[in-house]
Amino acid sequence: MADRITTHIDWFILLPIVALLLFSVAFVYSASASFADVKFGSSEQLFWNHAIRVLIGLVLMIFCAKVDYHFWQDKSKTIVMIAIGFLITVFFMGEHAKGAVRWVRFGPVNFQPSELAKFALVLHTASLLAAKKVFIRDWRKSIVPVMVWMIPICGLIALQPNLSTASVIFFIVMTMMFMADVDAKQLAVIVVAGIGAAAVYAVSAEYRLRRILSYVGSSNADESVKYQLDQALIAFGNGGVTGVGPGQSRQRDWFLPESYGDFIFSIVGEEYGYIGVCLIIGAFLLIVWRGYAVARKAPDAFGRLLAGGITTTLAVYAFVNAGVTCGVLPTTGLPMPFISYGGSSVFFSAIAVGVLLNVSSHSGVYKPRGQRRSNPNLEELPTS
Amino acid sequence: MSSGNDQPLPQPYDPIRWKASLLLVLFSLALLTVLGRLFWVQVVQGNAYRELARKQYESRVLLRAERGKIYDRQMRDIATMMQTTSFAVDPQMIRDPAKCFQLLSQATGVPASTYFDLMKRSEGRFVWLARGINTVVYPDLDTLSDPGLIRLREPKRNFVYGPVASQIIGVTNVDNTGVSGLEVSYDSLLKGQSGFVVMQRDGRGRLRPGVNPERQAARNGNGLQLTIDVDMQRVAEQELARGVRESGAVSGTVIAIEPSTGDVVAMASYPSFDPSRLDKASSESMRIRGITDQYEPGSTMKAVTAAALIEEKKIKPTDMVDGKNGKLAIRDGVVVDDHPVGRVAFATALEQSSNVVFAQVSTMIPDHVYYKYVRDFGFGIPVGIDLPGEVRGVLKRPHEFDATTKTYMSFGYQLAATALQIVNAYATIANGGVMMQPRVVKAITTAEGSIEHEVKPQVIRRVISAETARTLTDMLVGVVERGTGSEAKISGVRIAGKTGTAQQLEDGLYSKKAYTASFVGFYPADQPRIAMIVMLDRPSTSIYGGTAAAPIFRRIVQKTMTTLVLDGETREKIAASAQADSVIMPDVRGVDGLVADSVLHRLGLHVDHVEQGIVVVQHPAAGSKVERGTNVTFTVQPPRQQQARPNVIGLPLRRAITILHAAGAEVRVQGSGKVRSQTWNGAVCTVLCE
Repeated sequence: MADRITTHIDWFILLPIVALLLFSVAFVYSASASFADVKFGSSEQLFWNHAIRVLIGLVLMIFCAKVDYHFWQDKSKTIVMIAIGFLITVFFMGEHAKGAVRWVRFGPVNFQPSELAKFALVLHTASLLAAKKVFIRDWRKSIVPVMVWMIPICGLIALQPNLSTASVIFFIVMTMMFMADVDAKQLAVIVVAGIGAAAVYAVSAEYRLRRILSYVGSSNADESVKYQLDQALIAFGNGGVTGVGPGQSRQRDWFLPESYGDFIFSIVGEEYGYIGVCLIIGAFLLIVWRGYAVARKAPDAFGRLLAGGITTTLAVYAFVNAGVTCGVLPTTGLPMPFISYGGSSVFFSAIAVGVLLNVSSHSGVYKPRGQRRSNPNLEELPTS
Repeated sequence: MSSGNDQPLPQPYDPIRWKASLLLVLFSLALLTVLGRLFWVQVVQGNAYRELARKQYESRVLLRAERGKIYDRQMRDIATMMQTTSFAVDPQMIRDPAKCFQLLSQATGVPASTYFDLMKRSEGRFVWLARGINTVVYPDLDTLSDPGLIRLREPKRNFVYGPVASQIIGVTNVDNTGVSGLEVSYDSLLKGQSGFVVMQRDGRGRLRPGVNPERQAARNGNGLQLTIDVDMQRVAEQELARGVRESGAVSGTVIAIEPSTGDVVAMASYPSFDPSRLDKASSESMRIRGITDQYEPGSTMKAVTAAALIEEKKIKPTDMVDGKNGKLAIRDGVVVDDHPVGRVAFATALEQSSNVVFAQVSTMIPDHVYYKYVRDFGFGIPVGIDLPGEVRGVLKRPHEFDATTKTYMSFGYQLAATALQIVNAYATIANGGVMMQPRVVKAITTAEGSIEHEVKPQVIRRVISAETARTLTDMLVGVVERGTGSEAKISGVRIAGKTGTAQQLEDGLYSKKAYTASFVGFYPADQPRIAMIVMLDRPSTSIYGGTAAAPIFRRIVQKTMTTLVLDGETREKIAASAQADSVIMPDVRGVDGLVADSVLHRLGLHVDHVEQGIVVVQHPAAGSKVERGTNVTFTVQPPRQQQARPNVIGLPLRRAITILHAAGAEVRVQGSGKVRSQTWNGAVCTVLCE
């Protein structure tokens, strides 16, 4: 079968991602130095953690890029069940942080099951919708099977509580159903129902309501959320056009909370200025552009939906994270893919991109229809 | 494209083609929105945010000006400044509390467990442990490094002579503002001008020095050269305390003035206080009684009455007056004498302090003339000394006089005066009839101690002629030689003086129990160097000025003659008379060894082995009574070694600056990054970076 596959590497996806991952090491180093110095006695503690994770991430990405994406098609159900298992585990042996349980500890490894669940659900939704392609307009055969998996996953994540991740996963699945050509009216009903559920959930806890209030500028705002956003904006503004220079951030000196995590984009803006910010956003635009191109041109429905789902995931995360740091969106706790400190995020983003690269290698994005590539082997992919 | 897996060619149209394009457009727009927003934040509003950033990064740290030193008339340090360190702990940051508390415990004597308790009980991140520790004495504490140990440098007044002259110097509050004594009246001069340095802070409020920070150096306060002579002051205080104790008085004051200049050479008040133990000081003990307390002076007033009569040529010392054997009935009562006399010379009447005689002779001049002399001698008007809290006393105006006012005033009742007013009147007689402005500040010095502005002695007025002054001096010498002041007599020195024993008013009646005993005079009578008053409030065992106050006067003169500039002959005589005396061992701990030696030498004590450095142990102990000539030993802490010059080559600039600042160096920076080389120029370290 291999000789029938048109293979190539989409450098426009690979290079920006490798660049983002490598630069993230520098970003995390600078952004975490003050925090790590005080918390661990060494300013390089988080830097080394992150550098190792990025290295593992790159290996995982290349490994997945070499695995034929159809490999995932019949394993997706198993993976999604494992993910649900982990999400349940969180409630029994999760690590508490900031009033939520989002982590499970396995020995030295802190694992965030919601990241696995997100990846698993994208895989399985693509698999399900591709299989139900013929009955796509029959809601009992297309929508219901997806809902069966999506509702428990989003529900479990929302209960952690982590409404923002749950909402984003819901949005990604909706987008995939939209791409799979599910009936628009039926989709609309689900979206409205989802928003309703989220709204009820949002006002059910005070801290979530206050976050939303602080976004709309109410005096009832959550002071710490407002402080964090103000500090993020000061970071961006202080960076100006050219930035204060690599490693020269001052906001990371305990002014901006989560400076190496969800708010690392602000530190990038401070150190590298508007130019740096444009380059990062530009890299994501490139990835999103090429990702949707793969979604258009993948050889089969599973490939198309998989590429579309993965690209949407990256796009949503990048947009929501960047939007939060600059105050376009209300404060939520989503990491910036490839940039933020955090093992689970780096690993599953890398795996997802590896899968996307594999789909692209089957898609012949560059070539006019019908033209074969001279070298059909996968050996072209970098091995290190 | 041939085929993908089991999908046949050509592929059917999949709406994902346009839907993916639609999503691409939507997400591109979303990401461009972010870029638009950031253009606004970073480019358009950049300056406003940079200003916000600068404000939260910079912190102006006050550089305290060092308070000016206070010197005595011979430019000996009385009040200097010392750096003390106060310690607090951040319970969340402390790494090795056992070691920190152990060292602190050594310095304070408080058990280390107390500090553990303090730390445990507090919920905050700043817990005071100990304040005002002299880390020069405990260098281990100074060099101890622990991220949770917070040090605050607090300059504190160091009183070289302990409690000597404490009321005159006064005290400052925690804001470095004077609250009493000279610290108040010269506050703005002593305080100097504080400066600032811009430090960099992080989000937790921790400060660190920046690179080439904006700074304005503090201008240290001016110093003051006092007219006070520390030796005389100390003797005056010791003898006053002894005299108050022996006479059972409530309080007392001694003031010594140099008649020719108005310089206050000593000004003691009892009770006194130790400025290093302010918690134990009562407001009573902080008063400068010589200017804040007024009394009816009693017989010391007779010199003023005599001066008026002689100047007006109404009487001569040799004129005979009638003492009526000590009893004279006047309009509203009877004037009684303690030492009754019959018909005697006027000078003898003064020697025996006859109220009866003065009540009669006062009628020789009209009220307004008498009033003029009393006022010219400084009664009823503030002396205007440069110390806070002076009262003016009470002097009736002539039109307020009733038939007997002048009679009573002539021997010191129906008017009130401060000890300073009385002694200044006698200083006027001593100075040939010319009154000088009393003062305690001789010169204003620079912060380093060189004279910047000399305060010139100021003539107030001529009160009586030199001739009259001479006549009066002879009469007053007679008081000591032959009269009530004989207790003040010292062989070899002619002392002019007058006793005073005044009944105090209690509930509008003159008490038979509460007296003011005083002795005021000057010496040597021929060429007076010092005019001095000793005043005791309510002595109980010996109520008379002649028996309670005069001996104090004598002892002070005996003990200070050696130190004052006198003609050689007198000095030797006095030294001989004071030979057998003992002295109170002063507290020289915390003082430089060389200074301690000179202090002890002046007291006639001998120091075995003099070393430079801060005295930490002394023998005999402070406050003990020792014979002159006793050997004193003390142990010194060697002076701190040359300030360490840490090597910071290869370190990141930020860390290098922190280390150099901690070592007390001033840092100049060229370049940024890691330190490549460093050069020292005194305390200034210039670091060159990559």
